[in-house]
Amino acid sequence: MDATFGPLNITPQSLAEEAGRFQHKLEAGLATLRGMDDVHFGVTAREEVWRDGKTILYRYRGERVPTAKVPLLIAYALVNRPYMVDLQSDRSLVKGLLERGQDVYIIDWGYPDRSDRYLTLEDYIERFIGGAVDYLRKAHKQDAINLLGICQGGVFSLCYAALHPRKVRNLITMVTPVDFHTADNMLSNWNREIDVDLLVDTLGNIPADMMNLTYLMLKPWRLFAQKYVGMVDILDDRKAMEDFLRMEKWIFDSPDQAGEAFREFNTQFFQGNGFVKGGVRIGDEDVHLGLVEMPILNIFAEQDHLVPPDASRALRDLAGTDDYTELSFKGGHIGIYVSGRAQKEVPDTIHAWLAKRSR
Amino acid sequence: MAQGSNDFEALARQYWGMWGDAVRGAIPQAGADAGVQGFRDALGAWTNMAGGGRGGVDAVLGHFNRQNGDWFAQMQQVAAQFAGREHSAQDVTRAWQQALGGNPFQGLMYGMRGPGLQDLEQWSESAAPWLQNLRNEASSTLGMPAFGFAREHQERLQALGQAQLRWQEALSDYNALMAKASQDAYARFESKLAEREEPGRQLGSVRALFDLWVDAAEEAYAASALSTEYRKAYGALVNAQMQLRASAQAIAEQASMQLGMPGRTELDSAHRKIAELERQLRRLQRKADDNEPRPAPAAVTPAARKPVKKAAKPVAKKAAGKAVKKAPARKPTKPAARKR
Repeated sequence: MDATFGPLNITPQSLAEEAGRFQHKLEAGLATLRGMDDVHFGVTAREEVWRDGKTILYRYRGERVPTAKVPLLIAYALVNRPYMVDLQSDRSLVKGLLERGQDVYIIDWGYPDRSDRYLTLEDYIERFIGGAVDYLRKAHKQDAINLLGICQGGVFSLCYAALHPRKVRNLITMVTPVDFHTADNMLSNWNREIDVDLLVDTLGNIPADMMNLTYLMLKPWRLFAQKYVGMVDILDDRKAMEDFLRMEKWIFDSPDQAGEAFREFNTQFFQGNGFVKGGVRIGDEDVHLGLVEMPILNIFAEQDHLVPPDASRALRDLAGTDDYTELSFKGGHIGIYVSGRAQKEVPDTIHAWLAKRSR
Repeated sequence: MAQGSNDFEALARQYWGMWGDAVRGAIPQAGADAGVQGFRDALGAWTNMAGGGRGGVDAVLGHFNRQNGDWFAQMQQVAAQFAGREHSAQDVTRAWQQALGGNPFQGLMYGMRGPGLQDLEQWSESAAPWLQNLRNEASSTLGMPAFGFAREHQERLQALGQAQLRWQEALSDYNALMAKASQDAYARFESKLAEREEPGRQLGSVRALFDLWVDAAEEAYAASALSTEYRKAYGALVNAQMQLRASAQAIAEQASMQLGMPGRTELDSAHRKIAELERQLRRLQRKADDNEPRPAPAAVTPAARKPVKKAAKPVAKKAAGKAVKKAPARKPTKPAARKR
């Protein structure tokens, strides 16, 4: 076509061909979708070893006996479900760590209901993380364990490590916000003028629907319109459709947020930026990152739209440790668990880093 | 299965035929909407055939149907206007703006509904008939001083009416901000299209055109969403919605109490007591544990583990070492030792 026609090199013929390809994809999609069962997730065998209320500590069972003597406890965020770290056979951080000899445990916070509205950050950090850590210390006859906190779970882990430095041998934070007031933090910008007390007093627990909508609104065209328009490309690919549906399941399988913990988290971190400005208080205790003196591996994602890299990088200057390591992963907030490259790079890094510090 | 595919093929031929005629201008009296409708009908028929009562799949197909029908179908129509004809970036942008109107952001967000997605406005819509009745009752007395035996009741109704007015105002402000972002998105779209006028950089498909719009719209949205103006408008909207909801809940709770039914406050009070009792019990338990000699902890026995099926591959430490940067941490001045 003549270049002077304008920005579109489209003819009636090419339009018809594109529509024809769309139609063929739809036809193929009928066979793909009808032949599919419900998607499954969480592939690695696990067993319950400890429980407090709705919170359960699971131990993962790999295909080899762990070689690591110090157990690794994963603390995930309260938003979304922790099976993101073990989504499917070829996308599992847990599997990767087990294959390398780590002894992996995870805390599952469960689905809070209205009777859990008054759970506070102290409950989540001291009672649940603390309870799980104490169980593991006893069970493995260790004074301290390795802790891996993810996103909000990383914030909890930092608080716990600051309050109980002797119980955490090595700390790994993944996509964890530390400075909540970086200029590119959209969630934080939205939170600052919200009357959190009014919100929690009115709603009690914060509904999962509202959380889901908030996350979609971070990139509404890409995460809502473009994603589903683009789904046509994979309608004839059963494996890709299964992956897509599994991810959809995870995205919308969100627990409600316990009201009081939400109030404290938003006030102290999103609004108060407490790690940077001070003022983080868990129960009766002040939290200072300067007291986090154990080795730290801080892993963040360069294209993270939820936790901007600079929000995580701030840990370098605030932590009290002399042994601080960073992994800047080329990917996004979710890609750091499920992308092809992450399957090797992330568990390799964690295992090698821990192995060096276990000698 | 084969029967289903054949049925769809027959239906699709009919719908695509209609779409093709509209695109080629064969049925000029049908107007531009005929093509969009043909596309939507085809998608609707396909979605019904592909679904099957599976909750997760049906929800995704619902989104697929709506997003393609709402946005992609319209983009097809816009592209068709310029197929094989001379045009400019401005022409395409104008046609797209004409198709979507002044505030496509509002339309997108309004469409963000379905399983797992319920927004603030949706609650107001569900409660609209009830709220309207209450408002009608309260509207004449919104500004009047309350007195007499029904004073408290009247004040609750007044608060509700005022809260709804505040919410409508906040919603209007938020929508105005989104309209501004929409105009910015159109400007960015035109600019991106202009960059594609160069030979070799032209867009060759409707999908490429749609993706370019998404890039422009996301850029405009991010610029707005990170601004102080957005922070204030969003905060005001959420706060107004919560005031409205709290006012409605107060009236509903009052009505429940009159019928002898427990309200939210009463249940919350019980839950609060239980949580506090649990906390105190744990503190006491911890103290008691600290004072008693502990039995030797049970070790984790390797024998209890699952037998090994295969050995793990040796770890490639090189990759890890390459990716990791070791950075010296600045040690801050430590705060005074904690009390514990």
